[in-house]
Amino acid sequence: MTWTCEETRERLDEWVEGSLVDPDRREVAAHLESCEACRAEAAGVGELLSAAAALPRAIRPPQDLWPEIDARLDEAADTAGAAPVVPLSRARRAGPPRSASGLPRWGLVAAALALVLVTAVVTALLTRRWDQAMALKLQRTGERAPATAGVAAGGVADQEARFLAASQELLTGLEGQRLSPETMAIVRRNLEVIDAAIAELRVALERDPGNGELTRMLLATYQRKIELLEQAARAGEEG
Amino acid sequence: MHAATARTLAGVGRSGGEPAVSARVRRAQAGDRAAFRELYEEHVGRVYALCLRMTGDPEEAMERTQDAFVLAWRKLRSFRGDAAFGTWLHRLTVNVVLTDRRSSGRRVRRVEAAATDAGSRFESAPRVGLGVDLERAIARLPTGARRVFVLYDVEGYGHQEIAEMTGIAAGTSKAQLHRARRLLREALA
Repeated sequence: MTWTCEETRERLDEWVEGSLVDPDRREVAAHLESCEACRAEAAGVGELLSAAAALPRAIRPPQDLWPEIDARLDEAADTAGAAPVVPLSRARRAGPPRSASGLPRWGLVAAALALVLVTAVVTALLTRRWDQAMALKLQRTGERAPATAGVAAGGVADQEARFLAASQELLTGLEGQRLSPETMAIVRRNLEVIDAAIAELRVALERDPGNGELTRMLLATYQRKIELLEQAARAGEEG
Repeated sequence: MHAATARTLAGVGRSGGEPAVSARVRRAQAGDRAAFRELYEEHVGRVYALCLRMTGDPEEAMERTQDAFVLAWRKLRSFRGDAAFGTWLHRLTVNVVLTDRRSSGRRVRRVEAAATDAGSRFESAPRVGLGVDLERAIARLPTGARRVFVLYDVEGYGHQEIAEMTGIAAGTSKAQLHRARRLLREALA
């Protein structure tokens, strides 16, 4: 007894795909030989599958999505790490009220937050690879590299010059270290945040040269940069 | 293996014959954002097409496309080259669409806009009229049937893979596909 139209049509998808196996395949084939309506049905399924296979594989979105994606990548990197790094550029785009120095007040707050978070993130990442005793020793003694020892003395310009020389020296030394590409990428990203904070604070100081708070923040920011580079260098030596 | 499966393996799975972990992917894994942008430029069309067909909504598709690339950036270090990057990204995009709560809860769909948007890009495809009509009909399918049809007949996944990705049984996937095909043929008749 051959299959009915209803039985046949339930299996037409598989028959058209070629995935139906005997004995069902023979039953469907036998029914199609004698049923014009089901042959038309099978042809319709085949036409639909051909049309689906001919659909374009790629469709460009109506607008460029990269700018929004690019803006979100910092957040994405943050969630992969330990704590968020706050990009200063984003704080400035938001258009918050501006301080007397001409900078957005929230920008300065973000700068301070960023520095704290940068240190936390990098410390968390790098100290994983440190010898525990070394980390404890550093915390107890407040040990500093020779390059940073004399930074506190002298005027702002002089101190800036010392910081720049020290950071450049550490940065050059870092290139030869055995840090993994992932760690180097994190260090670079955080250096970018710190450099952005430095640039922002320098602009603020140019507008308000006598602002002691801005001066302290600038020097503290340089200090953070040195500490970041020192930690990265130590991690490279340990790694 | 059906035709779409073969197409997927030839396309997504072996995109341009590139090695499993290309130098560009390695640069992106190391944090090189310019390299990641190049990957975006190469793959955004495939990712957006998938999102558009699975959601039936151009605006939602753009949101999910962004989500997919942001998630890819975050997970890039876990990519080990077991499959080609395009295949990995494709699978990740499917998961982004399927796990988005807004997607499953959204009922108001801009179907006509989706069809127009997709249809305007069919100039190079054969049988232009049928393609546009099919895009519009796919966008009008019920969510479950649409997703299975897109994943099986357009993207080339098997029922077992669809079952694993969507959390439905393989038999349910077959039933949804049968339903989708029937509804599409009725819509295109």
